[in-house]
Amino acid sequence: MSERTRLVELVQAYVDGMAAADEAAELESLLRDDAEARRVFRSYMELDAALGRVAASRACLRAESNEVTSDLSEPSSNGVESRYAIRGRQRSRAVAAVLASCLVIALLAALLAVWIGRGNSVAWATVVEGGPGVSIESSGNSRPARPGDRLRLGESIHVTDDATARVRLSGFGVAMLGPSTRLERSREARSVELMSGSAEIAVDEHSAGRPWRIRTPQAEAAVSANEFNIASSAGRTALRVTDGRVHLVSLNSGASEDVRGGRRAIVEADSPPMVSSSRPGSALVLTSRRPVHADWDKFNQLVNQKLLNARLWQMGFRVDVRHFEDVQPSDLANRAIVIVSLFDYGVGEPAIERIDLAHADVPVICLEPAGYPQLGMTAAREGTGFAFRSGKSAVKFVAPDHPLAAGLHGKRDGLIRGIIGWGRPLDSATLIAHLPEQPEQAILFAYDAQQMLNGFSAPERRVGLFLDPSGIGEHSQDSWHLLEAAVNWCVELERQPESSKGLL
Amino acid sequence: MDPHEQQRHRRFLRLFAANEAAVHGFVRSLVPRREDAAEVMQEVAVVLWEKFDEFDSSRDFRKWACGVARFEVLAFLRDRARDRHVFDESLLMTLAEEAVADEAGEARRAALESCLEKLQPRQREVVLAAYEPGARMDALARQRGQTAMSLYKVLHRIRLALQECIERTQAAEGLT
Repeated sequence: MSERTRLVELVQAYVDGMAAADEAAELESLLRDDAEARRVFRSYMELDAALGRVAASRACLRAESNEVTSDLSEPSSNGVESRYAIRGRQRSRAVAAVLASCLVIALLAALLAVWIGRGNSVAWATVVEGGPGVSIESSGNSRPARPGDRLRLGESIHVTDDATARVRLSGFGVAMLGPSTRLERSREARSVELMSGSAEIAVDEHSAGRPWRIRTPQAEAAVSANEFNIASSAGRTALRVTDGRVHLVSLNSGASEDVRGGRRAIVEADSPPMVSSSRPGSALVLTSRRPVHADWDKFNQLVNQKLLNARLWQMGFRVDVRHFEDVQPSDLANRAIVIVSLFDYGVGEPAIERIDLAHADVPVICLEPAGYPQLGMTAAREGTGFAFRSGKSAVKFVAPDHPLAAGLHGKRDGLIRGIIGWGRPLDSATLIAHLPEQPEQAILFAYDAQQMLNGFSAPERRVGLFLDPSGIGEHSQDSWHLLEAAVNWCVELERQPESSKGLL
Repeated sequence: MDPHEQQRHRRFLRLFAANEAAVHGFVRSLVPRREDAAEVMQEVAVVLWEKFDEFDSSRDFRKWACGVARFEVLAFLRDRARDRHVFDESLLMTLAEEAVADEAGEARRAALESCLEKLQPRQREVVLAAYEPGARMDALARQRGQTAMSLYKVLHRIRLALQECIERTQAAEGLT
């Protein structure tokens, strides 16, 4: 390769912002020593600027009224081509006139900003959906965030623990903000700070070699992705990438990883990013709006609040809640997981049947024993396939090494304090936990994809987990760990063959 | 705005519009990233207007504007000193001085117009689409059924062809 070819190669990479550190250093060295190299470099950079201007003027032309184009364009199906077919001075004058008008408009806007003393107040975000629990804060002042409100530099958006919001981040994309979120613009260009909470971001503006960065207290993410979720809470940053790539750096350890679509990463304390697979998509939670039982209603509220707010969002999932009465088959599209919460007889069964959840190619966690038969996870008959009774019981974990056990082993008290609900899994199931001395009365069991359910094979993973609605609370750590472990197992894509099946 | 201020404003706009491309090219030759150059240009436009009283009308507006822009660029880049693409300040000063002294920029920009027209329509469409404000290389690559990396290679080839065309045009006009 000649020196000139190498120089041009380095310059081109630099122009696109694609030069690696050693290439940038090599280019810098060449430029320092060689005036001709600097001339070549300058001409490429100027070419880059000029191309940007021509392309911008073309976009401007397209946006201009048809007066200009109708006067100048020849009849053609391709307006751009016809414009380029125009030769000579007429075309140049037209382009120059439009370009000049664009420039004047841009310049006037900039000058106006100075005149009215708002040079520092460019909006970095616009509220798309706000409402109660969403506010814009600045220097200790707070105002409700309403659709259309703009956030200026120095202002942050705050979402309380029972709300969500949607904002457009200027030059970046649209972010759905989860509960307990605080987001602000960084002082650095193309950078935002997620101080806490979570965001699902659909990127619609990429620029080559100049990624946006999202910083959390634990990590920095350089975004080359089209869609991803990022969350920060309790000293942990979770990232899930649906499409594209995010370069994640642990701020404490300095270690970094590229996280691609279908993968996720966790950064905690001094650890490097821990990357694993994760099924893309959001979480759908099915609950009942009919409060048939005080404890059950409380449970559903907990599922809504604690699970959604404190768990799934923090794990990097956007969460949508649907009531059994309203859910439709289309609600299953693009889901990483579906969670079926408690329901009264006659409420959940028709919904499960209506959306054909049993045959849906999406992992399902069923928290309601009466839902097991509809999903093919047990026999249909109550009393043999599943049952309830009141009482208090320990739970025996029989597969402590299984990821679903969340590290629990042996007999555990405190999980069931008032209502006992169990299911009798089929022989193909993996049994994780059951009532003591009653191995056929399972509290936690699972089917891997393709394992036999009741008459058909499981299209995706299925987990049956009973969490006592009368005993669960904010501090029921074992219960929440089990639920989190179930979610993790369900969305995992790199799957090992099950080694402990059919323990019944 | 009083009549004197209006007149001053119109004069500034005329000068700025006539030289904006040159100043933008100057800024771009010092700022590693395209978007940053656009950002710096906005600031430069504001500062030029604020300092316009200091401009000596017997001087070359382009050189004066580039002199002002240089300080804005250096201030901008000092905040990004850790960026691997930001050159050492002494090299930036050299590049700036040579760019200000370069009188052939306008001819190169004019040559670009004719060189763009000499491209194959498909090539022209690709390069201009890639440079449109807000263009996404990954989306454009998908639209064309190729990877982003292969699209970058296409762009490199087109820019190389344009550069060679511009140099040939200048040589034919005795400008190099």
